[in-house]
Amino acid sequence: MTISQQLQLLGSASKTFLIEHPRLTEAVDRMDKLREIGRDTIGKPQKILPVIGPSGSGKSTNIRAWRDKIVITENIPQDAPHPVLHVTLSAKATVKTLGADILHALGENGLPIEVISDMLGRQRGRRARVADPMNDLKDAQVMYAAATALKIAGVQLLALDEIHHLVHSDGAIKTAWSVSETLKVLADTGVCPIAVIGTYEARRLISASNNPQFVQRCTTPIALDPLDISIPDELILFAGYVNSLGKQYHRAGIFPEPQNLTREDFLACYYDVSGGVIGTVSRLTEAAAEYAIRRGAKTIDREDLSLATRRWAMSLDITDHDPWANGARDLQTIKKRA
Amino acid sequence: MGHHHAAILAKLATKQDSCRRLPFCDPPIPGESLVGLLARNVAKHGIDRVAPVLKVAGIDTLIPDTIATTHCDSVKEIAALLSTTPEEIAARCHRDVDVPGRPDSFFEWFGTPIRSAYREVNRRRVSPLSLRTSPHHRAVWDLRVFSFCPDSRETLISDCPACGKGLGWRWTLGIAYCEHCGADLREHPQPQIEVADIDADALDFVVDLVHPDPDRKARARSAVPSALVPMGLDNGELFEFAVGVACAITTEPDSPRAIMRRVKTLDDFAKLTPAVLAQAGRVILGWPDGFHALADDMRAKADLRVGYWGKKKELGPALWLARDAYLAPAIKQELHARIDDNMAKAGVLLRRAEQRAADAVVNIGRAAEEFDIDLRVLSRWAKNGLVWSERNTEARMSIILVNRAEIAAIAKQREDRIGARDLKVRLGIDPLAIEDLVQAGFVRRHDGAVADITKGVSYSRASVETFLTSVMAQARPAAKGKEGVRLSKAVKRAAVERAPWLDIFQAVIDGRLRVHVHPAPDNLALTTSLAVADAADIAPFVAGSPRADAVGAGLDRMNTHEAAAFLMCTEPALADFIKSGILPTNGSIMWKLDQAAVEAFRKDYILCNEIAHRCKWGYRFVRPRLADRCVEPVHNADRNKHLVWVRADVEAVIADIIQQGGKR
Repeated sequence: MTISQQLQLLGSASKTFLIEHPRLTEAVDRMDKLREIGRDTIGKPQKILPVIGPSGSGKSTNIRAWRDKIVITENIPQDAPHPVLHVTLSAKATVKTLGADILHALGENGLPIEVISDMLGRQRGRRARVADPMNDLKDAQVMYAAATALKIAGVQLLALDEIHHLVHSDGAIKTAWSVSETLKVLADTGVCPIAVIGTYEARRLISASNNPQFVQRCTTPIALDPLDISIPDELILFAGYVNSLGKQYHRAGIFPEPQNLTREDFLACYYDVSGGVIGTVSRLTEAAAEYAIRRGAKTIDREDLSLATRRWAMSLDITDHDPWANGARDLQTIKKRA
Repeated sequence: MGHHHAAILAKLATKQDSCRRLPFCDPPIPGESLVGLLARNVAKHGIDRVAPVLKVAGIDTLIPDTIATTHCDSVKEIAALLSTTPEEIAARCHRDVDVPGRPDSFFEWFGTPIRSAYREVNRRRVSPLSLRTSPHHRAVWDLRVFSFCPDSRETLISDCPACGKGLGWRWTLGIAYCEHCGADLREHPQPQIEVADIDADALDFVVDLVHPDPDRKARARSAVPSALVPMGLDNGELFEFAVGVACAITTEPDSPRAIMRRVKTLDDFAKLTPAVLAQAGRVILGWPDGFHALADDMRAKADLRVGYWGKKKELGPALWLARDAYLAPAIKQELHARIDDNMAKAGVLLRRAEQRAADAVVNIGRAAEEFDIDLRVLSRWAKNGLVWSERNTEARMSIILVNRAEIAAIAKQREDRIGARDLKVRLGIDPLAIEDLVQAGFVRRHDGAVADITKGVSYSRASVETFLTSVMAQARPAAKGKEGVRLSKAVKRAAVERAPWLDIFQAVIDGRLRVHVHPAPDNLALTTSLAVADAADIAPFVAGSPRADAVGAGLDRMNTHEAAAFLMCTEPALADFIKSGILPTNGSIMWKLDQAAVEAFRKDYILCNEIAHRCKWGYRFVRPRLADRCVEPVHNADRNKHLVWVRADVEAVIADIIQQGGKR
């Protein structure tokens, strides 16, 4: 295998690594249950599940993996609509763009672009049916169409990713409020249960002081906080993650030998750089693996990780310290930075 | 669209290009219209405007209402858009059909050609009760001819009962909803047709003719009566016929038209109630009796129609139907035949000769030509009621029809005619005596129309011949060497005021007076060709004849002949008296003189002739000799002609002369 082939394999395979993050596993279990209940009570008010975690904590990756698993386990045909719809919210989201995003995510099962374009261009809302349960969605025709599409496509769970896009830096609270109102109506009218997934910024949305109506519909939120290795259970989770990550590199055929990434003080150093965010661990290792391949080495070594920390993590301001060269700092210092 | 939306669209364009259809379309329902199918699926996808969806299929229109006619070529694209087969779409498209010889355009309606005017395009017409069964748009609702849903028999609505706005196709919230106010139309049931009140079978027949369901079409075809089957009419032609009949039924009887008004406006269509359509259906189902029933209805209202004559007056709209441009030629031909049947059955007089069954009744001009009678004479008969005639009494001008047989009989009698003057010459007696013969029944005088052929009096030649024969039968041949005295001369010798020819001829016929044929008559006159042996033979018949009987007893009117004879003057003289006003008339043409007036004239006045006879003067001496006695005529109209004296004055002179003893 040449170096370029190895690098190509790294580029494609590392994206597909699915390391079961225990917190995410819980989140997926909760969503599964939500979907199950929703399926039985379709048409009745549904619940909203907030999933809050830092960027890079594997939220999106896990949902994609979960969707793929459902296709296999439930034997869903190629052209049939997927029961779980994963929607990534556009930046500066409004009710209209939310509708467009849902229809975009539905793809072939959504609506043709001419129709969406017509609805987006409207100044006025749609004419509403009397006694239509989704009457409250009348202000944005495209959202109404999106909700209808969700219903007729048989979507059993709407996973709304990047929900923090609702929180605008310019402080347009009103828009965020109307979008969350829209989500509330979607849940209330029994279209489907919703999982809202976002970073910590999204907390403002699900705060009882800001939006009590919305909060009323929420179940217990899942917080994907960084792991704290001062807690023994979480230390085990962190170590287990790093360990299985090393095995994945061998399993994917990138390196001929199994990688032991928990040797020496590697674990402490990993924690120093990532602050317990496993997405950072994964991406740091990927960068280090590239240097190792270019080097022609068979293992990812300290120098690779050091280089990756300096070139990738420090330049991106993820950390200001290279523990691989200088030694891991103590926990208090690390937590202070986080 | 703001910049923000443009960004989203750019993002969408990467993925949404794969979506070129409505992904979750419900399949077409039999009998559903194309735009109905489209709107139903558009609404199902939560879209409220139809135009952008059509844009996906490459149809750039703001008026989706008409796609079934305007976009027949985009069948494949529409089928792909709605995830169905092109056949389903093609069956719901209405292509133009060329029906030669009809004024309107036609389109194909589920395999049947129908006039374009019958299809409602812009308005969405729905039946709330049928929507409860299934919320889809039935194509048959688009036919304006039907004001009701054939399934639920409910009156269709095209306006929202809640907000009053018109229902259309450009926006949709679903077929069962008003797109303006969102009201659920199913909550507003409309009145249903009372099936008991109408002929449901006949109504179904009319509906079935154009129903999208092929089974119902076939049912209608099998119900077509055998009288109409050989014409080979298709359902569309039969439907057109039914609509035409319905139009004829709804046309007001007093409508001032010559061509029937077909349904055109919504008000016109509103007149086509289920009851009217059922009646029209019954006319066709019951052909030809159904037509006769319709014609009888029309005839019952004939009085309300303008005009006078024949088919138009009698049948009105039923006749217009036969001239209707939209009907198939075979139907029109059949209608003309049935109208003729009906007119013949009703026995109504027709003006046009070619429409009349036989020659029983003819135009007065034709009769005049055929029988060689002056047209003015014929019209005078008709006017005076001498013959039966028929004309439009309300019109200033009208054709006049007469009975041909009656005119023929009169024309035949004309051959049998002998004029008063000819008869006078033939018999050699005065007109008063002829009148006596008429009264006695020996000679028949023509009356009525025959008498009017010429203005004078005429008699039956046959009766005259019979009379002559019966008289001549009694005449013996003349004895040799004995001429005897001619009857005329014998009567003259009797010198009576008025010769009693009736008594004399009666006596001859009875054999009481013996006569013989004069061997050398002066002329052909009867009275000169017969002779008696002696002038005295006739004395018994002359002496006792009373004066009073002379003027045709029982007659209170005289004609100028009789009056002239009675006054012993000429007819021109009489005319002159009338003209100058001393002899009043009764104003009529023929028997213009009242007997009383003539007698009064004779009583008051005396004429030259009588004076000359009584005084035994020559005519030319009458005036000077009376003038010598200071009696002048009271009237001389034309210089010295037609002189009239007052009788009282002249009688005094005559009495004086007689007293003087013959010095005359």
